[in-house]
Amino acid sequence: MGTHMMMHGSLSDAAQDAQARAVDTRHAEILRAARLPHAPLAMPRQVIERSLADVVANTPLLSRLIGGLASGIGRTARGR
Amino acid sequence: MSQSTSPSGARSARALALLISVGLGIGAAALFLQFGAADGYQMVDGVRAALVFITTFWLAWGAMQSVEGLMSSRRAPASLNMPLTTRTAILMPVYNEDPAVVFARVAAMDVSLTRLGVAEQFDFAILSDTQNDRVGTEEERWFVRLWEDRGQDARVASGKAPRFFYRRRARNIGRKAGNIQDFFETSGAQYDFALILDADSLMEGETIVEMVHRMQAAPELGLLQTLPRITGARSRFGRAMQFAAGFYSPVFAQGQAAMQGVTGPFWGHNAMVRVRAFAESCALPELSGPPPFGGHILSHDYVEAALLARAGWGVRLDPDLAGSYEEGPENMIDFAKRDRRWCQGNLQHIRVISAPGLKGWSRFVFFQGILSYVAPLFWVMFLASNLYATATAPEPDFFPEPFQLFPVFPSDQTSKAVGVAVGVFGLLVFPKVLILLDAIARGRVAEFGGTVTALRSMITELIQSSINAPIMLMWQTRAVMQVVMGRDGGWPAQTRGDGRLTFPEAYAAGWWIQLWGIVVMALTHSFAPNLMLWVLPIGVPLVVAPLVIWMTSKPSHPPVFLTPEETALPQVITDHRRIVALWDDTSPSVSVPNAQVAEIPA
Repeated sequence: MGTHMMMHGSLSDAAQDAQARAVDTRHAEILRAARLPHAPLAMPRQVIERSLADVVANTPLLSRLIGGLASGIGRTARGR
Repeated sequence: MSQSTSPSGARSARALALLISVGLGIGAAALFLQFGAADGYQMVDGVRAALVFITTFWLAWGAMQSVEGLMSSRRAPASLNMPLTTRTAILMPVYNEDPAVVFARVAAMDVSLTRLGVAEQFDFAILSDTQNDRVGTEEERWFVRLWEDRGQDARVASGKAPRFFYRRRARNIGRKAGNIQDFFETSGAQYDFALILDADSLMEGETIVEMVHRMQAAPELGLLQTLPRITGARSRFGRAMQFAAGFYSPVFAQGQAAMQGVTGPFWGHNAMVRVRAFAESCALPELSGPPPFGGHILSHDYVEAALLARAGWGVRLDPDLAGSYEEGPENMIDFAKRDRRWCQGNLQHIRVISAPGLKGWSRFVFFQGILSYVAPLFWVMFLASNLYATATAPEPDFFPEPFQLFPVFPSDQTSKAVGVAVGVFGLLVFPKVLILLDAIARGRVAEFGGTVTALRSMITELIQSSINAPIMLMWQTRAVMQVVMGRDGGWPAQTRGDGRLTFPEAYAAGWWIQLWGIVVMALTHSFAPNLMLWVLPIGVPLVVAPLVIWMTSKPSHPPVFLTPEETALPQVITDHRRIVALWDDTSPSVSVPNAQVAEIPA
């Protein structure tokens, strides 16, 4: 009786293990199929910070004055 | 187009708003200077007048947005009837969220698109930045559920590519901006447009399709932003915010759209971008130096909008686009946590404001964002300078000349200070009253329960926000001080749920505010007792801050704060709730291979 119950328990455990493995396999298959499509697009890194010499060389006077005022605030923050 | 987005129209709107705001600021400062200098001019009077100018200008600028919004035409444009010739990716970035609720939103939006017969033109990508492995495993399980519900097995079996994708990054480099960038660099070439969402976003299929139509019709448009309506709020705080967002925000947003033209905003979600435009202009660098001012750009959305405009792409806010939803914070603590993150992000823009080639208006938008967090400091300084000025005011000299027979009474200029106070209060209330009158005239008020209910909601919201304002001011001031002192707020996950607080939780968050309230009241009582009446509206809410935080997190029920979405639940939200309930009944872990799972009907 005891042996029978143990065998029954083992069979049940084995069935559960098999089902769990099947579930895991299926989940893995779906996650593989759901990977992002391969269609790369280049994203060039944008320039946000620029050296003062570069700004002076490439910006008209008025913009330079306004930019200078703004970047003064930026540099103060950067210095922290 | 529902509003003028021509450069000259936007310039006129900006000039008008600027002129009136500066005028009101100067007027208020001049009046206050006369009041302050009645007992002889001191340096502190000049400081106070300058602070009055800044704060009045700032309030007037906000009020002018509503005036501009009321002045602009708000006729919804005729829907563009054209075939969808483009492919759109709908991106749902997630970060340690409840996957069942979030993925059900994806399912609900797909149901909405399927109903319109256009689902083939749209793919969904769940972009996970979740760092918690347990939540990550849950996400995978719930994604399988989503996959099965949306019939992807049959689709793949018939040789078609799937329409649902899931990717989890091992390292969340660049946070949300980096997450989106990673998608574009992996899969961007497959799509014309991308609809960027938040984990709490929901959009009707009709709205998504209309956005694609508008993007197709305007090849120069790089980004189209909707005005999301807050839904699902349950607490007093949350429902007040939900009402304000539904009742006032469309008018303010209309004014903003009129002023910004095609140099509009990006709020990070519920917006569609042209993939090519975004890819070529919006890869954000890391700022030099450590956080909070260096490192990853936190409030990336504003920067991306500015970079799109710099590259010549249009960025437009179309407030007439309905059917765009999000959720809001349910209590003051969650609001303050979110505000702390936004504060750091906005103050970090000090580093970006001087970026080369930006449009002038983009720089102004950064300035505006910075000022919105610095402005509370001006109010605190104004309060402190008034206490100082009153405490150090010289005693009135009734006999300034020797051997004077009759006393000379100092000129009483109190009426001018009262005038300024009334004016400031008017700037806060006036736009709301105008919006109510406009809503009555246009019949919009019916969606908010009729004139009486809307008026009741408005007054309740006004009282509640007046009580909350000094407490918020303290939180904002602390946030600014923390950022300035170099403390990084990190990237905490959003708190969802009903947001109900216990009193100990409220007290733990608000005891220091209460302490400041007691200090302010005690100082006023000791050094400037004649100012006590003026200080009470600020001091009392501070003293009872824990009580306010606790009370406002309690549930609230209609009819007060009734919104159109509460009267008639939008279809996509109904679908979402139905799907969540359906999924709740069956755990995804019991899913077995080849099981027949009924697809959610459209």
